[in-house]
Amino acid sequence: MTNIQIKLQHIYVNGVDTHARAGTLRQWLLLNKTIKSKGIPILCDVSLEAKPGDKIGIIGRNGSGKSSILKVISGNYPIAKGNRLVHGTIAPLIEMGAGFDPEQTGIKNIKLSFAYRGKLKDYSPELEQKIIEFSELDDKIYLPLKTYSSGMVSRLAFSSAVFQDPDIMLLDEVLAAGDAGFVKKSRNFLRKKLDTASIAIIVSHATDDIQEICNRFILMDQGAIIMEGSAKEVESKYKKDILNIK
Amino acid sequence: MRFIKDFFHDLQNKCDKYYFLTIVLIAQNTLSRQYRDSVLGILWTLIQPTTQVVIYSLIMPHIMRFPVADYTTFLITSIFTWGFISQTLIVTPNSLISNAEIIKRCIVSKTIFPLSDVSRLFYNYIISFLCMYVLLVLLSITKFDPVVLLLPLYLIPIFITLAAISIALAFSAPYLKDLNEVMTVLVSVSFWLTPIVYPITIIPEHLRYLFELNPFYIMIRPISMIVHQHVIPSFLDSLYLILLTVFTSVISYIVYRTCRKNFVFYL
Repeated sequence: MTNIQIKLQHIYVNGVDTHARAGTLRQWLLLNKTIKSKGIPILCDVSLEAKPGDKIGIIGRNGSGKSSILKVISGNYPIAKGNRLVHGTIAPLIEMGAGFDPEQTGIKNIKLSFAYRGKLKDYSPELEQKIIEFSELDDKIYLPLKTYSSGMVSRLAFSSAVFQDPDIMLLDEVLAAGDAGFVKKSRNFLRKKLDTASIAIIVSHATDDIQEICNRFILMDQGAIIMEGSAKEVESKYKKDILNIK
Repeated sequence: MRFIKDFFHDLQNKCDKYYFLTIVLIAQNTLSRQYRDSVLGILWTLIQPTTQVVIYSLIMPHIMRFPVADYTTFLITSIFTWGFISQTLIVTPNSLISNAEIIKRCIVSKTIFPLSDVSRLFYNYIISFLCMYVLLVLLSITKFDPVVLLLPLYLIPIFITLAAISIALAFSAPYLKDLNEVMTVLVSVSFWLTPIVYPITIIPEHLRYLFELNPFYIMIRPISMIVHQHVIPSFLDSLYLILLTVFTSVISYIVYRTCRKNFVFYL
């Protein structure tokens, strides 16, 4: 696809505090709670543009809005205000293994994970074989997922998710679990995938993890973009102003 | 005009081979999980309504004393169809809520969840109803009539109607947490307000039109006419069913458009 790009203009996202509203008739009639839920600001006036070749690293502490930006780009979060323009196929590696069924075998879960990601079109027996080989699960792939260790589940989740060639890759602190050998192999594989993707956006808690991969760095806090700069500048401001580390 | 344009645009976006394959895959997965390690497996979908049929066919003629020829076939037709309708009303409000974690993380059309639930229930209904019909013919309780070949013509609008209702229920349930309980009560009340275990002929004529406009009866009646009475449903009965399908599709689309934007925050 030509003209691959991401353009977020003055984006506002408001979540909902369902606990603040009247959950029961008693709360509504006697405790004067409103039926309508209160909004919680998740993203405030966020603007971001990305063009082919951009590998953007977003850092910030928990709840700063890093993952929410990815969810806005992928279309999982509705926007309250602003414009969102995304051209290109997207592969969001946001919390992998979603939809895995513990009762089903590993091999059936591979196909299910493609279905839940809306990527059934890309699924083929050849790709399935590649995923099985990469996960190193061998014959255990025919056992129900509930018999797997957490490391084995992570291997399968990682392997099922990374075998795609999107224009835009979104990564939310994706680190493969398992033994050291598998982690190293996964990191190398992911690195190659990131190189081939036109645009990549990676979310992390620190620049150390991403400075080799990214060429743009953004700092976020309280749902807003605080600054964009070099890895060193962003890291320094993050530690000094946000984490208060001298 | 804009509404109609949007409706067909959304419909066109969904009409993709892989969209339907995803629905089938998820429905298959739920089915296999539902009956895993069960001794009788999918036979339970046959046993549950059959038990109801046996009980009602033994008790009802003594209590209500109404003359219905071939009451067993009448009961089987209406109870099995009602089973599909009531299960849809009870199960699908949870379709999105029970898949909240997947919906929050994955880019997939959210309508596949209620549609896979209603497809699974439809599959159960068709299989169990077909088995029961074959059994009735083999036991000479009813006779085979070529008019039953018309059943798919009436089952398709029933499926579309319930699929539309399932989308409306699934997308409004995150906002209305009491919907599950409301549906349970509605199903219990509707069972007796719909001519399922009794024929419509026992209703006084001046009140009969109220029952004839009951949407559940509009769905059950053509099936009953074909399988029980061996007649082709009248033009008016067919028209009622088509109008119901169109009406529920429009209402469902309005609910879907209203609720789809922020529902993820209510899950």
